[in-house]
Amino acid sequence: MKEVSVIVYGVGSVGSGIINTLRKRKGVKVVGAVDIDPEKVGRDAGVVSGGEPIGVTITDDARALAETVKADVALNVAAPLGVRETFHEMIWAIEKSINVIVASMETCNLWFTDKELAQEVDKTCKKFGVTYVGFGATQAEERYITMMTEGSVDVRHISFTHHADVQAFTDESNAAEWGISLTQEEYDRRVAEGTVKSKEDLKSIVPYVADSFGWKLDDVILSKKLHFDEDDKIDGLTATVEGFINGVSKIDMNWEMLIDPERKYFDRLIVDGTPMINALNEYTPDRGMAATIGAITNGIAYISKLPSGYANTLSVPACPIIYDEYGLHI
Amino acid sequence: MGDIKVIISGVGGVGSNVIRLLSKKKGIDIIGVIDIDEDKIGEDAGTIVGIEPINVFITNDIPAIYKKGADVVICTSAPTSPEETFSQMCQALESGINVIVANMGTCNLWNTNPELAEEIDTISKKHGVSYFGIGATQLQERFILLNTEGCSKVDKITFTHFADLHAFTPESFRKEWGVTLTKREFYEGLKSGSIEKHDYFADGISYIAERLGWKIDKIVTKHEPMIDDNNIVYGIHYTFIGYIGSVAKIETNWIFLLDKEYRYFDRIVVEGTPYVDSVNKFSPDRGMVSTFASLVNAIPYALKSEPGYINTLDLPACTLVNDELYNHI
Repeated sequence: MKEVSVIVYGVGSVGSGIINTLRKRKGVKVVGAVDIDPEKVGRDAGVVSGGEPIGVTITDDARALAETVKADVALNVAAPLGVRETFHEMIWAIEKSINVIVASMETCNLWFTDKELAQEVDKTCKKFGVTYVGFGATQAEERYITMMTEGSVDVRHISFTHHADVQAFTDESNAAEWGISLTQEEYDRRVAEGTVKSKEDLKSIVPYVADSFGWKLDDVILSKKLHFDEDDKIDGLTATVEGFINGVSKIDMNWEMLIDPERKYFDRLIVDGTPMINALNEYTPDRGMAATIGAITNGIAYISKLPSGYANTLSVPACPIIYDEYGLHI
Repeated sequence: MGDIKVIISGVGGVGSNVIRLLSKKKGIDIIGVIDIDEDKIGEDAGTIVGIEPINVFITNDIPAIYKKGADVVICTSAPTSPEETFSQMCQALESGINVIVANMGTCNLWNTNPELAEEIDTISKKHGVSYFGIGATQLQERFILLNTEGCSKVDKITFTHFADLHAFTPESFRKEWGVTLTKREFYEGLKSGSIEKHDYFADGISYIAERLGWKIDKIVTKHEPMIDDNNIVYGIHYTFIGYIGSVAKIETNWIFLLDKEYRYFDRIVVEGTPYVDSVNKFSPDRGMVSTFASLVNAIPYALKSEPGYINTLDLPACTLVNDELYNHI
C-alpha cells in the first residue's frame, strides 16, 4: 500500500506539533523538513520537535530538497506571509507535483477574497496536477456552521461565538494576536505600527460564510471591545463582525479571546430558522493548538482525493482523524 | 445559467415535503413528478401536496419523463433495498440524470455492498452523472466526523440523539417506535417484528469506524422501552456499542420519546485531545424537516460532484441556500 510522504515547511511550534502527531500515525511519513533558522538547519527534525530522531535533517533549501526526495504533500506551517507571497513561496513544491496545504486562514477562500490569485493558483496547480488548499482551526468552525444548516429549510439569522481561553498559547503570541497583556496605550501604538494584529482580517470570514448561504452582504462591520485586569492590562478581546443585507443583520460572529480564570473554551452557534438551532461545543482548552495541528494532519489524506487546482476549504468533505493506514483513505 | 430541472420520484410523506419546499426555492424548475398510485396519476402535483397547482402532472410514464432532460431526480419512493432502488433509478442514470436517493442503505455502499457500488459507479461514470443517498441520519454521521477534524487524538466517541416525537402523528410513532403501547404489547411487537428494531443504526457505527480507520470487532445492541406509571411505553432507548477487543470505541444512543419538555437534541462526546462535548439543541420540528431539507440542500452537489457513486461522507457540507440554487454549482 502507498505510504503518504510529507514535507513540513516550517519547524516552529505548529510544525513540531505536526511532526510529533505524525509519528503516531500509520502509512504517513515525514520525508523532509524546511526551516530558515540557522539554529535548526542541519539538525534532525524529530529532535528539534522535542522527541526521538526521525532521520530527516532540516534544510533551508526547499528547492534542492524537492530534487532529492519524492513527496505527496507539503505543509506550509511557516510564519504567515501574505497569500500571494505564500503561493510564490510554495512554487518549488507545485512544480514538483507536490500537493500543498497552507495553515493560513487567508488562503481558505481565495475564489471569494482574491479571485485573480485564485485563478492563478488554480491554473498553476492544474498544470502540475496538484491541489492547493488552506486549512486551520478557524476553518473547522466555518465548516461546522455551514454543516449545521444541512437539515434546515429556512435560516433567517446566524450568530456564532468562539470563546477561547488563551492560556495554552505563549504570552508573545497572545500579545501579537490579541493585544493581551498590553496597556491600552501600548495596544493602540502597536496596532498602528502593525506589530499587534488589528483583526481586520476577521471581516473576510463573515461574507465568506454568508456566501455559502447565497447571502450577498452589503455591509460588514467590525467592532472590538478590550477587557482589562486590575492593573489596567488587557486580559481579553471581544471582536464582533456583523453582516447586513439592506440594514437587516443576517450574521454575527464573535471571537471572545481571553485569559479565562475558568479556562473555558467553547463554540456556540444559534441559528434562527426552521428548525431553531442552539448548539454548544465545549472543549478542553488545548483545542486551539490541537485543532490547528489536527486539521492539517487529518487533511493530509483528503488532499490527494480532491481534484487538482485550488480548493476552497468549504468544498472539502469532513476530514476525520485516521487511525489505520493513510493510504486506505485516498 | 438556467434553472435546475428536477424530477421527484414518489409523492409520499417525504416527496410531498420536497415538492412543497422546492416550489418556494429560487432557480428550481420541477419538470416531472412520478408516482405509481392510480389515485394520484394525472393530478397536478401541487394540488396533491396541498399547495397551489404547479402545472406538473403526476405520471407513471417514466421513460417519457426522463426524456425531458432533467438535471437531477430525487428518489423518495417507499424505502426498499439499495439493489431495488438502483434497479428503479438506473434508467435515470442512463438518461444522463443525476440521482439523489432518500435511502439510508444507499449511503455507504463501498463499505456495505462494494459490488453494487462498483456497478452504480461504472454506469454513473459512463453517463457523466452522480448517484448518492442522503437523509437525516447521514447528517448526524457527517457531524460526528466533523467533530474529530480538530482532534489530534480520539479514544472514544459517544453520540446521543434525543428526539421528542410530538411533531409526528400517533400512528407513525406507534408503528415505528412502539410509543403509546402497553409494556406487554411493546415486547410482543418487538418479538413479532411489528415494531421495527432499527438495527440499521448499527451500520452508522461501522461507517464512522471505517473513516477513522478502526476495525470494530463486535457491536452490542440494547432496546429499552421507557415506561410510565401506567405501564404505557412513552419512549424507547436504543444503544449500540462498537468494540475493538474489549474496549468500547463508539457508542450511539437513539432516544425517541414523547418528552414533556419537547426537547430535541444531538450530543457528541469525544474523549480525546481535545475533549469535546457538543450539544446541538433543535426545535422539535427538526426530525421532520431534516429528512427533506437534506435532500433539497444537496441538489447543487449532485450537479457539481465528479461523476460516479459518492459515499455520503465524501460530500462537503450541503448548506441551505437562499438564493438561486444554480449559483452554487
